[in-house]
Amino acid sequence: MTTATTIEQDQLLLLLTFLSPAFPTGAFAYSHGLEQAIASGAVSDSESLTGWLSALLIRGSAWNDAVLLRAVGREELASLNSLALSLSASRERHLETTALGGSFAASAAVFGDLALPEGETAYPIAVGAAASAAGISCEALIPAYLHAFAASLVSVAVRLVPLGQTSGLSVLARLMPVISEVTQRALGSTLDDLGSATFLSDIAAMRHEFQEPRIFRT
Amino acid sequence: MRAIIERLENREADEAPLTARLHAERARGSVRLSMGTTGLKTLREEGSLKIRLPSGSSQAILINTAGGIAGGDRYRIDIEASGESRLAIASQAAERVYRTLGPSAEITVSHRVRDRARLIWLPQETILFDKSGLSRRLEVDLDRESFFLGMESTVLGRRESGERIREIAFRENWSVRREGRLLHSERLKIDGMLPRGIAELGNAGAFATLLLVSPHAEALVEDCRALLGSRSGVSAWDGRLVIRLLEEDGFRLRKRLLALFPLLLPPAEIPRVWLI
Repeated sequence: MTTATTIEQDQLLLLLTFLSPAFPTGAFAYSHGLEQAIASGAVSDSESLTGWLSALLIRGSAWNDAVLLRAVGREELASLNSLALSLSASRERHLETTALGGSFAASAAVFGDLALPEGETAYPIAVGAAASAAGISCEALIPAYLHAFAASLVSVAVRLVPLGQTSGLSVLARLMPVISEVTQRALGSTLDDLGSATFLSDIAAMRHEFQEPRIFRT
Repeated sequence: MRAIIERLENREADEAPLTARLHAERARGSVRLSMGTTGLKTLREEGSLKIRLPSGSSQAILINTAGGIAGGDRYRIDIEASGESRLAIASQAAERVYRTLGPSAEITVSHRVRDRARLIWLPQETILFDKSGLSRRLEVDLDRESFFLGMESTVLGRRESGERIREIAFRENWSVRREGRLLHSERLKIDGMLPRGIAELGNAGAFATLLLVSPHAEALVEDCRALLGSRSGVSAWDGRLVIRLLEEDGFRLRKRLLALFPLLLPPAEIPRVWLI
């Protein structure tokens, strides 16, 4: 499925900046439970990695993030942020979204005021607020966000499984149609569409808390 | 009539029994119960939901007289505990949700806990049959010092009877507020084929989520962890403890739950129907 997405050049530059691995959020330190799934043997090659990440995109935390991104600007930001925070499936998921959200908000402030609510900010809310302040549309933001999410976890697997760089890229290539399909659904979503069925991913995030040895914070 | 009843009752197990089918798509039931310092304050029942509260007891038993849940059924349960009261609620039996061609059944449960009261919500398993539809909502409103333990457990058909389920419409939404602030949400959604992937259900036939909100919740993580199987997890943060259990079937799930209850509750608060 291809959809034409137009974006002003200055907005494109901001979007690339916000979701670049070089944007100082510290995203490289979080595996979203994938480190545990690799240690337990659930994810062991590019096939299983594709299955793991597809599920997160289609009916997992990444899907919920996409629905939340869609709701920024339509719902009151403070209550949307509370909802996002309350959806954390475990202590480390809460740590991940608030640490990324906090660093993102601090860094994005360089480019303009985000008017975020007081206290902790969930990562998708910080990103959504920054994009919204820059006038970046959800048509551009959501696929870029999902791509950054997938690419970051592919790089975790490249290091830990380990996978060759080419295998990692082939996983990303296979996820691209998934990202497009999920984006289309997310664009037509409301908060009623929040919902996941990634039981074993949520459980992996919980079990990561006592995994030894561990490299990633989540 | 008797012959018809027998014929209907001999149908496949995933068809609702006669009592449920006669009321097909229409069953309604509601219960409102409130406990305070001096015991029972309010008790109202309507339709096919009943609640039994033996006098002097802090254990209540919820009974659905409709003989299972069919598409379009609606149930509502409102519980309030205040004035340092304690109340443990469980259902009398596992609840079956039958195949539907129409809308999902809806169950809305609302709990309000105040003034250091303790509320324990431990219904027995919900058994989902193939092509069943259930939308379950749990709303919990707590103040700073109250205690809440809630759980929902779900069994995907009965494997030991050789039933296979492939497709369901299932939603489970929890919204738990403490001092008015949204503390914890669950949004579980399965719409269509069971998600059997390695990040999803795998080959599990039963699952449960437990939530404990109490000032001491975080101290229990290590002990809970020791009781869990290899496909379950526990985590605690910000005054709550969450346990997610996946097991091969309902029998194994029940065994795990029965091992966990004594860790989370004093013996007098474990609903007796779970122990029979």
